[in-house]
Amino acid sequence: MFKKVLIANRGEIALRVIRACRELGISTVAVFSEADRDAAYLNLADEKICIGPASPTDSYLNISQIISAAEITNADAIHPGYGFLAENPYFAEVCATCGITFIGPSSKVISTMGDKVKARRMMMKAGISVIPGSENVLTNPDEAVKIARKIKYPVLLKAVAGGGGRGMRLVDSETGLREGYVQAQQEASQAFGNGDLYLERALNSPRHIEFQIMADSEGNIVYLPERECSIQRRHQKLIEESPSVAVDSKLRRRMGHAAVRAARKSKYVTCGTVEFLLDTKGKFYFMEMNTRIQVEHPVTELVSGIDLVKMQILLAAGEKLKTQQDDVRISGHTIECRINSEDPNNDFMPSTGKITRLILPGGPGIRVDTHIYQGYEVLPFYDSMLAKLISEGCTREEAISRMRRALDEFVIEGIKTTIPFHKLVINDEFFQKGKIDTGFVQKRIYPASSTPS
Amino acid sequence: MNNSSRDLNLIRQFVQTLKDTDIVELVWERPGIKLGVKKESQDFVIQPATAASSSAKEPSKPSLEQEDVSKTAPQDSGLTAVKSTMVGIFYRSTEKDGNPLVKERDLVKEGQPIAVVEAMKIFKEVRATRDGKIVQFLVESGQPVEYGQKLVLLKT
Repeated sequence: MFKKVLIANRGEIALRVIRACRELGISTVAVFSEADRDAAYLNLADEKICIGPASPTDSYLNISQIISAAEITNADAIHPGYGFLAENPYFAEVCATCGITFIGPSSKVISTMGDKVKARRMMMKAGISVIPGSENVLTNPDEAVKIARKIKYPVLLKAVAGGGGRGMRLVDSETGLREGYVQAQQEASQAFGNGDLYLERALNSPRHIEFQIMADSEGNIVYLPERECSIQRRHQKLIEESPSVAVDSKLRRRMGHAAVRAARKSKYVTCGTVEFLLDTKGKFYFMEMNTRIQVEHPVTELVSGIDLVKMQILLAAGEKLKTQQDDVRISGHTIECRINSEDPNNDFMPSTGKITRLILPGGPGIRVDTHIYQGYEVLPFYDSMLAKLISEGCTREEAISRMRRALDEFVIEGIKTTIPFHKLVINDEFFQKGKIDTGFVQKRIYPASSTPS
Repeated sequence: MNNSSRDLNLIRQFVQTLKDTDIVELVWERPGIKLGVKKESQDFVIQPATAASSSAKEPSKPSLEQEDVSKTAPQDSGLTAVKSTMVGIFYRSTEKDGNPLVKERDLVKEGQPIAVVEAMKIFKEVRATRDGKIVQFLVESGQPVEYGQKLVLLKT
């Protein structure tokens, strides 16, 4: 087992990993940028090291500073959290070269799954349906037009190196495709340094369903109850829940087995997530695999009773998976709302500044994962997520009513947050009935301000 | 009597001349007289031992300790701290057990290498940020340092 883990991240997830390590009796090293110097969670780590100025490229993305910090503190493993270096195959490789365990899958797996075209090809080989589309990287707009005619409009242009909806365009005509091609290419090369695109048929009102898997180095793989993440805005997840109202035990088994096949085919070790789109007829398609711990992992923790961050650390340390598929149970229902420092009344504009008043919700069935506190300064350099508000109940109805209560209790003053948005969704009739898909926010919450995606 | 009063006068003149200089130590010998002069600016006080030793054991401490140093060394005293631009191990010399690049009280020019920080077998020079005199090293050779950590105090 590891003696000391360095956490190459900040905010909520850094705190989450510190907590898991403390429970496991592992010492922690927190790294921070000059802008995060006063963050309270840093004091919960056994050691803390400043790794650079506020700009992420100079600090949380600065591989040499982070590796040096691990070396001078004698950390034997690095937890990358999510975002930043979590899915950077080069970073995983550098860790391995330096004799530091990267808490995640191998560099090779990260690299394959990070290339969406390669990942699609691998899944096809594993017998998992992928969304009809281009088999290779698109070479020019003419080729895209040819493929689009075959698979039929509307189609989705996506970045090979993609993520977070950047470099993505939904188009429903040849003209739109030609225009979108140039825009998406530019956006992708700016965001990922790689402008390669591929094409997929755009499904009609799909649900986003994903499966958490856990895998050990001996090839034991288990899937956990699904998460439904259909409440999105511009491809950014805002609300996740488990289980999904659209998945019965038979479909769960089929999708879960597909997720396990995906993990086995890629020789995956530790925790990961296989994302699918589920169409209205119950057919599901592989979308991508996330080779990290995800933001929404708590919903799975609460319904399954498994601490995923601790499990991830144990599996990275070479422990054998003790959970068998038959041991996995679903207990009740869980919902998570991502509370972001954005103004939902002003096109989700990021909001920064000091939190002048903070009252966290609590009571039965409420969990809040957050790094903020009264007096905390929300900085413009980093992600806008402030807190994850998670409710659980015996039924979906109870989880919803607890979420509604908790959103009412939650007070954050000094900055704008997405709490009002979540209240709209939670009180929506369609949401309450579970009639949701990835177009829900655009169709039900902001029908007037429909924005091109 | 005459001799000693003349000597006293000489010493007074001597001290007066030295008043506006930075001289820290000077020994002047003539037959029958030995004059030693030490001059130290009294406007800053530094406790090197505590800052260095505690931070070596506990990397979470150095930043706090250095805050204390900077408080006792106000900006207007002409003191500047040279900070580390990377995380790594601090060394006074470029070779193992080699001579230090500079010593305390040495005069240095802006850009002159005064120490190195090593990370992953790569040595990066720490350069003087301006002309001045090395007042004090705040970390010991071989000690880990973080980004932005104050390494050396320079007086201009």
